[in-house]
Order: sequence, then C-alpha cells, then structure tokens
Amino acid sequence: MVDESMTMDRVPPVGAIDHDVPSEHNQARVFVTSEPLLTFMYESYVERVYRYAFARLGNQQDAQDVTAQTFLAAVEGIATYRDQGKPAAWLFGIAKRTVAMFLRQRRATVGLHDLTHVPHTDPLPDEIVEEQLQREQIVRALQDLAPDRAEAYTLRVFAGLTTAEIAGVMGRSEDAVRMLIHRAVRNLRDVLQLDEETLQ
Amino acid sequence: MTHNERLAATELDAWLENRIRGNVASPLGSEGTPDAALIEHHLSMASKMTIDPAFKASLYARLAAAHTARRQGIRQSFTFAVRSWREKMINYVQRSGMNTRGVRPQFIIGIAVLVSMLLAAPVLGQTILNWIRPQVVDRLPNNVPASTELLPSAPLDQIEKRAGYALLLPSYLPENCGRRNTYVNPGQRYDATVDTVFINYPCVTISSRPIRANVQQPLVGDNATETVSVNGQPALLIRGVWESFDNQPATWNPNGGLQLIFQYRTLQVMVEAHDLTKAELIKVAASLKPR
Repeated sequence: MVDESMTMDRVPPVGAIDHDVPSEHNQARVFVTSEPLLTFMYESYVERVYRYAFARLGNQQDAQDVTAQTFLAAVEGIATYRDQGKPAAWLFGIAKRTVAMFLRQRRATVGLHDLTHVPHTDPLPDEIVEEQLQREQIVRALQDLAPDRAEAYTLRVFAGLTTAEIAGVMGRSEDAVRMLIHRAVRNLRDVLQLDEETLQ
Repeated sequence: MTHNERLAATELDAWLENRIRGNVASPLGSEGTPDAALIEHHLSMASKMTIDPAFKASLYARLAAAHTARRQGIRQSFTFAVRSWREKMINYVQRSGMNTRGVRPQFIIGIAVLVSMLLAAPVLGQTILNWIRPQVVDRLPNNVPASTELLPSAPLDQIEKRAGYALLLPSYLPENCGRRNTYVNPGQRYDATVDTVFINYPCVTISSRPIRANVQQPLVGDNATETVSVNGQPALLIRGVWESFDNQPATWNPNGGLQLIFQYRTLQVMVEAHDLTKAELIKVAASLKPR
C-alpha cells in the first residue's frame, strides 16, 4: 500500500487553483505549475510557435497541429532537456522538425495552391480576402527562399526570437544568422516585387 | 560575405531587435528603407496571426493530460524496471505454495528476500561481517516458508513506532530515482514487517531490521560475493539473484541485480537494485541517515 502522506510530501508543490477560470485552465495550471520549465515554455512560446508554424505552412489548421505536436513532444521529452538556459532553442528545434515533417508530407500529396487556398462557402469581407492573399503571398515567397534563409527570417520576424536563440535552433553562429536574415530580406524584396509585377 | 554586407546585416539586426522589442528603432539608411518597409509589413501580418482561444484552451487540457500520463508512465516504467527480476522471485515463491492473492508484489518481494536470508544453513562463504555468512548453494530449496507476517503500510511515524527504530533514508539517489523536485518523481512505498522495513524507490530498495541472535544468512550462487566498504565499514556485495521460469527450479542469475548488506549501528541494512552500478549502490548506501 502506498503511503500517500509521504508520497505527497515528495511531490513538488502545485500552484494555487483559480476557481474563477474554466476547468481546462485549472488543469493546465496544475500541469504547468508542477513543472516550472514547461510553464515557462508554454507561457512564453505558445503564441510564437503558432505564428512560426502559420508563416511556414500558411494555414491555421496546420499551424494548430504543429503547435499542439510541438508542445506534446516537449512534454514527452522534457526529461531529455539538457540545454539549460536555452529553452527557446530546444522548443523551436522541435517545432522546426515538426514543420519540416508537415512540409514533406505536403509536398508528397498536394500543391501549394491547395495549401494556402481555403475554400469558402460564404462571401468573405474584402479585408479578410486581402489578408488571406497577403498571407499566401508571404508563404509562397518564403518557400521560394533558400530553406535556411526562410527559417532564420521566420524565426526572427514571425516568432520574434533573438538572433542568439535562432543560432541555437539552427546550430549556426549569430553572425551567420544575421547574414541569413539580411539575405532573406533582400531575396524577399525581389521575390515579392516580382510577384506584384506578375500579378499586375 | 563582404564587409559592407556584414555591416548592413548587423544594422538590420539591431533595428529588428528594437522593433520587435517595442523600442525606438533608429531609421535605417536609404539602402535599408525598403527592407524596413517589408519587415514592418510582415510584423503587421504576424501580429494578426493570433491563436484561437478555443484551440488554446483545448491544448491546455491536452497538455495537462499528457503530462499526467507521462508522469504515470515514467513511474510505471521505473517500477517495472526495478521489479522485473523480482517478479521472477515472486514466481518462485508462488510455485512454492504461498497464497499471494491480494498481496502486493512488494510484500512478496520482501518475503522472498527475507526468506533467502533467514534460511539456516551451514556457513561456506567467507565471513564478511560478523553476522553475515553467505552460503553458496546450487539451487534454492522448494518449500520456502514465509518468515514474517507483513503489515500494511502506514505513515513513517507509525512504521517507526512499530519497528522500534529510526528509519534510514538516503540523502543521495541517482538521477530520475525519485529525488524531490525533479520531473521524474514516482514517489515511494513503505512496506513493513514487524520490525523489518522496506523502502522502495524506483531504482533501489532499502530494507532494514535490528540485528538479532538468529542471524539471517543469504543463499547465493558461485562467486557472487565481494567485500566492499560503505563509509569505511565492511559491507557484503552480492551480485545476482535466484530466478525461476515456468515453474522450473530456481537458478542463480549473476546479472540479476546487486544487493549490498552492511551494518548501521544496531541495524542490518540491505540496499538492492537491478539497474544501478556498484558505485551508485554504495553511494546510496553511504548516504543513509536516520530521518
């Protein structure tokens, strides 16, 4: 029989539950406060991982899937986290691999247009249509870049990581990351200008 | 990479850093103005890529469930790893006619360990401690008696009161072996006989009992014993365990785990593990202190 009093004594303290918030939030609070590192990662990076995935994949559903898979993998692998002090590099390393997996699967099955074009049954307001077109344009432009430039640029601009964090994710020096971003911007200018000219 | 390109990259990076962190960013030179415009546009797009609150809430729940399952899974896997060889001992005990229905494996393991130590037999092994004389045997006897009635677990205070001595707890445990405030924290179980207490951690089991006149002698296989030192005191290290498969007679498996027997003041202490190294086992033993 388990000596519950001793077992509980050994369990890390769990933070207070806020009874005014929905139960799933309480559940999450128990989860995250029992593991400070995961708390930190979740609260700091969930939005960024989502934006990174969105920019790389171009649609909400895939971005959500990547975000979920990234954090679930983080929970599974938190015991293997050794890179103390660099949680972003570790977490975005997972996200990067997950996005790469999605891209591989996608190339094998559908074309780019299918990815960025979400069919709508109802007419959409002009703003939404415009936004979607812009998003498609960005995704297409990023996919035309050299992969490491697109990666560095997306992590910097869409995920908001620092140069040092990106260097950790990509296994490159900070100088190399700066250069990748710089060249990515120049390439994007060319690609997007060409895109607009083509559209005109 | 030219010098100018490097400078432009550094300037752009500094501008981006300020822009992303919400600081006032010095305008880029004329050459960089189109770059800034492009990035501003993309930052604006990024700010609109907001996560769906319903998805975020459901992800919270999924992560919470996954985390809980992971903790339980790790607890089970560690417990299984430690138990694997003991299950074989349990098979042996069951084959010997003990009614194990309703009895937790830890109790049976305790009995098996005690039984192997309690059997009175001629002393053949080298005397390591004054009161422990392992006997080398070819096979384990079939009719193994249960030596002690096992009592249910209770809080440590109650167990100590029942046992009549202060329990020994390790101040050192290997990584991922139930240390406080670590991710892998499977907890412990405390099982006790009348005065023999088993403390089970995921990677190691510590048992203790007062040294008595009826010395408990372990039965071991060939070349299974070794003299080691725990905090400068002599200790007996036993490599191996009795195993029985498919109701066959038990045989000695020299790779079945390690048992370390030594004296701590008036207590006979045994620290046993399946997956720890000799050095780790000794380190755990050396860290034992009355709680």
